[in-house]
Amino acid sequence: MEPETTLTQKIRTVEQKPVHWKKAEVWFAIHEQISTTQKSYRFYYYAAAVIFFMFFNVYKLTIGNELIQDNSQLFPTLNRVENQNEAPETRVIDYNNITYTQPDPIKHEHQIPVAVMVKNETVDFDHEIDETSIQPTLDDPIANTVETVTLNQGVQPIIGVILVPVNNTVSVKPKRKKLLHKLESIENEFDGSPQNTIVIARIK
Amino acid sequence: MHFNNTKPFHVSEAELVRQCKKGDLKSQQRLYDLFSDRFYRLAFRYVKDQAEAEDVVMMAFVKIFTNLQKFTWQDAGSLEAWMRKILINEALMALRKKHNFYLTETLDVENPVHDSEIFQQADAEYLYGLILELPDGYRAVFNLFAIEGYDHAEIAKLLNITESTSRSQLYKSRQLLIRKIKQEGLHYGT
Repeated sequence: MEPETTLTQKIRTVEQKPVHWKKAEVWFAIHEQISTTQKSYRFYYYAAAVIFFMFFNVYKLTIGNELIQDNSQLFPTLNRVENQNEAPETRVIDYNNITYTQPDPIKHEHQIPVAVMVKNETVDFDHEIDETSIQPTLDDPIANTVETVTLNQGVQPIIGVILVPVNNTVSVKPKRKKLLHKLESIENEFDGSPQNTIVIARIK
Repeated sequence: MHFNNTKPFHVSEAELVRQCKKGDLKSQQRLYDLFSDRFYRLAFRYVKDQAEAEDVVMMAFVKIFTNLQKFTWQDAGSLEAWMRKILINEALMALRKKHNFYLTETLDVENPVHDSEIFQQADAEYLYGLILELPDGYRAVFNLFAIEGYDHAEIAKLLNITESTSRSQLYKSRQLLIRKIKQEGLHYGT
């Protein structure tokens, strides 16, 4: 369409001529608008990033705690090494002249050594103990055999002594044994000297 | 701030777009400097009000800079065509606020005959002035069809009117322009 093309060209040529208008003011308005938009976008990006990192850290902490618990179950020896730094306080329980040691359940409620019930025989005070013979050493193989187990959180260990039950139950009706000796009449055996005679009689 | 259109433009258009996408303020200002004058006159041709045309230019450039990331440079004319579309949409939005295109009367125009020789001989500035004198509805359709090159289906979609309304608006606008040119006498020029 030739005339239309000519018209278009004519109008576009006219429009390319500079005119007086508020060019600078419009540019300032555009610049302000763009920077405001960018600032608002930046604010939302920062807010989103902060929220993301918060959730990430919470998730990381939760997962981390679970992993620590899992690792402690999988590698008890690691915990044993860690626990060497703070030894559990022991309680001494005396029962029937036998003392039992028990760790503090409040401070060490998670990990209790299996070989915690160490039987200590009461020793006579007059008995002389060779100090060098009972001094524990780090190289002692018995000390290294102490294993640790992990209990679930909140489970309190109950350590005590299982006594052998004494069966004191007595039957109400005792069995009567039948006498094998035949009881005979006194008149037949008694010959006048009752001092030398054992009388077995049944009172009816 | 100094705007100078006569200053030679050393940076290629593609490079300018790339810098603007990075958010370089100087490149953005350079882009504005290059196109703002013609865009202001383009906006003025639609809205016929200086303050409104400035608002249209401002809103259009804000949209251009905001959506520049979506634009892919293809050839020398692609940037201007893309920017022009944004500006025309803004101008039509501004025009819709004060003019309801839907209420425009429709004529049955099967084969509109227009005296195209008159447009060829008329002076460009004079033609520009005559277009500005057209009523809003006529002017919008004439601008979109005769100058921007949209077809009636596209115009109908843009202005939310039927295609026949678009045709009749174009016919009437041509008749008006020719009548005015004939009344005032031809202004020969470019």
